[in-house]
Amino acid sequence: MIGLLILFTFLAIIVVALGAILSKDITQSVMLFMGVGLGSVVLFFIFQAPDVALTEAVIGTGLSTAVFLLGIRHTSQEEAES
Amino acid sequence: MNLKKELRLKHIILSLLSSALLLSFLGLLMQVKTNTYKTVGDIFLNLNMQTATANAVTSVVTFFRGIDTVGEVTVLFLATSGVALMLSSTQRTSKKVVKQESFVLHVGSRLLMSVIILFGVYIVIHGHLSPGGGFQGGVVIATAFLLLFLANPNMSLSHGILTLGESLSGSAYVLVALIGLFKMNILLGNFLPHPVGEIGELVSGGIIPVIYILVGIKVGSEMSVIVEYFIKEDYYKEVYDA
Amino acid sequence: MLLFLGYLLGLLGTTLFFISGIGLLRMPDTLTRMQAATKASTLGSLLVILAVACFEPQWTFKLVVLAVFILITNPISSSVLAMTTYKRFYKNVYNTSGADAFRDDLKKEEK
Repeated sequence: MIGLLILFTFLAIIVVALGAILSKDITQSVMLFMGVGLGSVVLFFIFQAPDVALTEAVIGTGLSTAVFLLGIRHTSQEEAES
Repeated sequence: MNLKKELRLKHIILSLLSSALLLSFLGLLMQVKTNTYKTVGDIFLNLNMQTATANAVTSVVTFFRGIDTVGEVTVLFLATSGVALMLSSTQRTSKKVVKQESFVLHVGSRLLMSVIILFGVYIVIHGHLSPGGGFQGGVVIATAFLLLFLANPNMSLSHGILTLGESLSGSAYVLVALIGLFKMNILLGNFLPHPVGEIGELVSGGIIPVIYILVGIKVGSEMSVIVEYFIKEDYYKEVYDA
Repeated sequence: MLLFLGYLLGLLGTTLFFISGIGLLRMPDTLTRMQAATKASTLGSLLVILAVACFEPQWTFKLVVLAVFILITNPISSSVLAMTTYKRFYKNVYNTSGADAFRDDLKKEEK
């Protein structure tokens, strides 16, 4: 049963990561990358590493997404200017 | 046209590779159970009984591998310095241009910020009892500041207090390590009383909660500064363009 | 009895999530899509939390904190999203219903 859950999570991570690679919109791809982080949180928790899961939840899905989005806002402004 | 074909081929190869990887792990995944190997983890778990912390990971991070934590904190400090050096080069104007924020956002962000900071402090203080610790709690506190900055661009942190907290906690960390060296002949020696009987209580584990609180202050202030630089630089740029 | 109630509430909550997902895919424009995504999923998560409280009564306090958090964050984010959408896309669209309080507020601000 737990193996099936792990398998499902792995599949979801692969699908979301492929979506992040293939999507044309860069903001959408950052959002899908956040989904990869969420899936790995579940995996870390199943594999009995709650400390790492907490770190991933805060940094991987919270701060890094925010920093990515701010960076995108930055660079797209510069591109529009030139 | 050619590029398109190449991309498609790449995608097919990529999906085939990932499915092959999945299939090869399938056999392993279906029989996951808690094996009892004799590994380094068991040795640490046995040693953990001496440090009297309920969370074994914390005792490894702050005690057995304490030097690594010092290194991590140093790396974080260097990263913060780099961000500050890179992003603070634009000339800073004092308070300018106020965008009207909505009332709901104004009240709600402040309400949420207090809750998030409370949660971060909880994670930091209970680092030796439950999952989490200084790094995670510090980042949670920084997330609260991120929310505040996103809701209100006119907000600014007082850098004096942040720098003071960051440097004081850093020096206190080194001081704790050195006191351990003098008293116990080990760097980061656990010189405070840590009876094993008190395991699981809030005040237990000797210097381990102290170290985690110091790390929490340091990480929280550094991350807040990074977030502030990222948002503020953007904001000032907008002001200049307008 | 409590267990049965929990199953029922969980089923209801997941059904609401399902409806919200369908709405997110099928609705034509931003405001209606947001309506489906936020309102239905807020109620759905509250019902699921209630279901968990029925299964594990000793977790009630933590679950109440969780519910309050969801009740604060979801409406605020949806309200801000709606306001931004309105300001960007719907400011100059003619409103047939006659009453539009937010537009009046915006006009007052501009003056």
